[in-house]
Amino acid sequence: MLSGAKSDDDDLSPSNPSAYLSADRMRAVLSSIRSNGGALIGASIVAVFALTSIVVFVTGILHIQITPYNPLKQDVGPPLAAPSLAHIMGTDQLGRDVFSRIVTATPNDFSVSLVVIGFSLIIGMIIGSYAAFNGGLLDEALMRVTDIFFAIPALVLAMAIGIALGPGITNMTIALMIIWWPPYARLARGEALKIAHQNYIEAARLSGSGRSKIIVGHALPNISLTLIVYASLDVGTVILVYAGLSYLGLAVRPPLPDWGEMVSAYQDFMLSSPWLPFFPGLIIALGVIGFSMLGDGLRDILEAF
Amino acid sequence: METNNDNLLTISDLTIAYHSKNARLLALDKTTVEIKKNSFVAIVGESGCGKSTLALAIIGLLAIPPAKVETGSIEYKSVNLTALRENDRRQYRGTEIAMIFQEPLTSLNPVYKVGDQIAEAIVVREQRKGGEIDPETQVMQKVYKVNAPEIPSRIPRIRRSGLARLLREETLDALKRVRIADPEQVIDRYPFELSGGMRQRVMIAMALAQKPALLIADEPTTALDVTTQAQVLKLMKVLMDEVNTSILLISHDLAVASQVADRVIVMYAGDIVEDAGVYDMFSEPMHPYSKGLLSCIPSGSKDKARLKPIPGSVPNLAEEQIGCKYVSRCPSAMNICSGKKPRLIEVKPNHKVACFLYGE
Amino acid sequence: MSFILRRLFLAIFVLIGVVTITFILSHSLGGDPIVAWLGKSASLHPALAKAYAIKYHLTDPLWVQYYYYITGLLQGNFGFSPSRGFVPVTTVIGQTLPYTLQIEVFAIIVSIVLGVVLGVIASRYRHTAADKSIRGFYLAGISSPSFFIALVLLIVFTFEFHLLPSGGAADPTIQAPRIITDIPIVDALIEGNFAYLASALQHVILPGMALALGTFGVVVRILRSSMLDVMKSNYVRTARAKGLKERTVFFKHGLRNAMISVITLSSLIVTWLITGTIFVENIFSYPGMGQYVFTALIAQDYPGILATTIVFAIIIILSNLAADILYVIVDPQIRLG
Repeated sequence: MLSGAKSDDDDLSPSNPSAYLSADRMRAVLSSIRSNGGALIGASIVAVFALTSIVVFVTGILHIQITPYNPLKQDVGPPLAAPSLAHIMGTDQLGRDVFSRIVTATPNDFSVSLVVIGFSLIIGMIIGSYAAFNGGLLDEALMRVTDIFFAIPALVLAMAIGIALGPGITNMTIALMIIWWPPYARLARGEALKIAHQNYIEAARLSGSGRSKIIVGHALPNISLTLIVYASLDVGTVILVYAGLSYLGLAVRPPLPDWGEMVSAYQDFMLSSPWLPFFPGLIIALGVIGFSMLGDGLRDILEAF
Repeated sequence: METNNDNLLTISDLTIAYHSKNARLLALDKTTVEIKKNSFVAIVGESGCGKSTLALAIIGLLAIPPAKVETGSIEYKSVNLTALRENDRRQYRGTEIAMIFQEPLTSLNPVYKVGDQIAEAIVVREQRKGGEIDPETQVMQKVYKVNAPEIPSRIPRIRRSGLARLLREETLDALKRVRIADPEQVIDRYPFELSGGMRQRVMIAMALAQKPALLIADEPTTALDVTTQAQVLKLMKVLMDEVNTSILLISHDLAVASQVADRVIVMYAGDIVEDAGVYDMFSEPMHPYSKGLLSCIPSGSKDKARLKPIPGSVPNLAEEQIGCKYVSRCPSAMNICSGKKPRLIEVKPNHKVACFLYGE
Repeated sequence: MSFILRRLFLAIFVLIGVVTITFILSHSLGGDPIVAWLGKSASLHPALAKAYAIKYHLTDPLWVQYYYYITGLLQGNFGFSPSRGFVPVTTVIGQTLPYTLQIEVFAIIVSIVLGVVLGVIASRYRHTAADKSIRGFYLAGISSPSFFIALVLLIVFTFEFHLLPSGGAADPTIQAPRIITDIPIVDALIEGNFAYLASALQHVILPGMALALGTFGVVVRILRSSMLDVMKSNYVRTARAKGLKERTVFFKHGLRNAMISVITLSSLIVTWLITGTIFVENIFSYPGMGQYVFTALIAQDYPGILATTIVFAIIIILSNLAADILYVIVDPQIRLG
């Protein structure tokens, strides 16, 4: 719905800010933000996670403990204690406070997903748009490579690379970065192809702009919207895959806490203390839900554009 | 208005508005029209004048949550359609009042063969008659229950045996009626295999196969190229004589209307401004808007006069209008025009106008 | 027809690519190839290990190894699996794949059926409480890691309510069916061994549901959105104008078209199911390939990991092909256009 564009220029794209950010559009966007409850819930969940991550990270560096108990210290309470006022999420088999461990583990999933998505976005957009505009060998190669990546589940591939590199959060992040960008490149390529024949691109080309300039100046701003929407919905998937890797023991070395690893470790106690594997699993789900709702909301809002 | 039995359709005082969160858009303002049997009427007007709303209201396909019938009635064969519940209303769709739409390219279901879709329409007709169709094949058994208002959920595959054969023959007849050259081929085609003009013919065939008394054609030729347009229009004119169906043509193009209709109704911003026989309309247009429309038509004459567009624009339908809606663009506007709304009066036999120039 | 042939060629190409990539990965990034291929115990018997290494070309240049590996593959030789007592990998796969297939098929069917039914309801009653609760339900499903769903199901259905078994493929006290197709459930069906069939199905439900609950959400979402689009289309308007009952319009004209978009999803779902299987089979002690991958990983059993990756890739590629074939059947435009 593009109302109010009074200029003759039919370029109503982000590369033409005056038409793109017209008053009517802004109004439409604002009203859709207000009416979109899901986005707000998602945003708040994400905000909580983000805040927690930052706080934990900073206090970690400064060696300040902000959790009720030291997450690594054993026997701060009776082992396998049920949730109570003293221990909101109970204690595990070594007497460690579950809640403290969960909070401490927050930066892991959060930062891994952001790094992987950020990397994939940037690399994907660049490769994809270059492939679309240059065509030929690069394009074909991109398509075939992405086809191959699509045929192997992300987790399996990450597992294989991860084992080769060795366990650890950094290594897992690298492994994920290697395998995560192809869908973005593919999407970017598709979007770039869609706009490649639009008038303003032709105009830029005719006026002698170099290919890179066209891509950076016109193509990227236009396709970034679709890609950002896709990315926001994808963050949750990275969290799930990373949690899976962590569950398999490939991420952190005990006794450091990590959500997936905690589920795996506490699984054996589910008969006597079902809350033990439940809480870390629930937190993972919550994180993903938060990002999903935020992503959905973002998509609705950006569709007003 | 007198309702006599000559009339197929009598619309009285119909007011329809679209309601959104903040606004009420008045699409039809106390519209009153009669359509007689076996007539070819064209309703002409620019975009947004309410002609499509009127068409959808007649067949009952208005999206009722935003749209609302505020006052008035639509009487068809002495039955007030607007008072009916949806299930009863539906019984009139297709077999009494049929409609074809503007975009032939997307108006047919892409996954079913054209013949099957026509057959589906025929089956509806037969069901409604409580048709005495002898259930011979298994398929027909499931499909037909005599006197039951059930509509089949599967298009019966057109096969060689028994009833299926009858159905196939009737479908072929329907295709031949719209002058399709090779119906045996077309019947098994999918919509995407046919051209726009062909698809529109199929739509007409499908509509007429249900033997409706009234066929509403909503801008049927707008999406077609000029040559195909002429062919389809000619077809409709011919069909009018062959079948007992009244045609209500909706168009924004006065020239198109003139080629086929017996009677032309001009609408502006939800009001009917002139209603006359086609010759009268063209030889003696009365309403300033009709005159303006006529002067817009590029004539083939050697006179290299400029096209005369009508200055100004259509009023905002969301705002209350007192007085004649055309007043802002009318070259003959008088004082009374902004104060009172002119009524539609019969100035000459079979020629009605709503304009203070011709009386109150 | 040429459409399918093209997809087939693409599939083969992708498969070769997958094999190559996994091969390169395992060989160039890994540690000592001898340990990788012969197991950890290799370091205890250096002389024997050396002999084996020469026999299996482990000391030859990479492309030579690749050549032998490919030829081996084509002959059906995937190597030997250290984590399973040096049994040929193909044997292990032969034992575990049928069980995994049982779960996957169950999960796909449930996922799609559940997704379509809920998607139809959500689109028909959109913006009502039903729609919103369906949305909440599937959001929880696709956001939860498969191991979490599996654990929750296990706790609720097995430990709390004692409704369903906690592990294994079937009650070991019931006689297993003869091997006909090698897929236990199918064999039991053919043989009429309903005792085993019942038990096997009971054991499939929980792991299958754990997988299905994680994936049905996308089906709901896509179908709902697709139905909403389709019901606004011109041909639906025409169907109504013909006087058809709304139910007929909804299903015969609406759903029939909306379902096409679900086909695209099915290959994506297969990918997710496979990912989830690794965890779910482990939690339910189900003797399938997921279990194998899991144990192979921990034991660093490279032949096992490689082989299972390839088999998974084959499954995904085949499901893609199946989806393409389904497209041809369902959409006349692809068939004839």
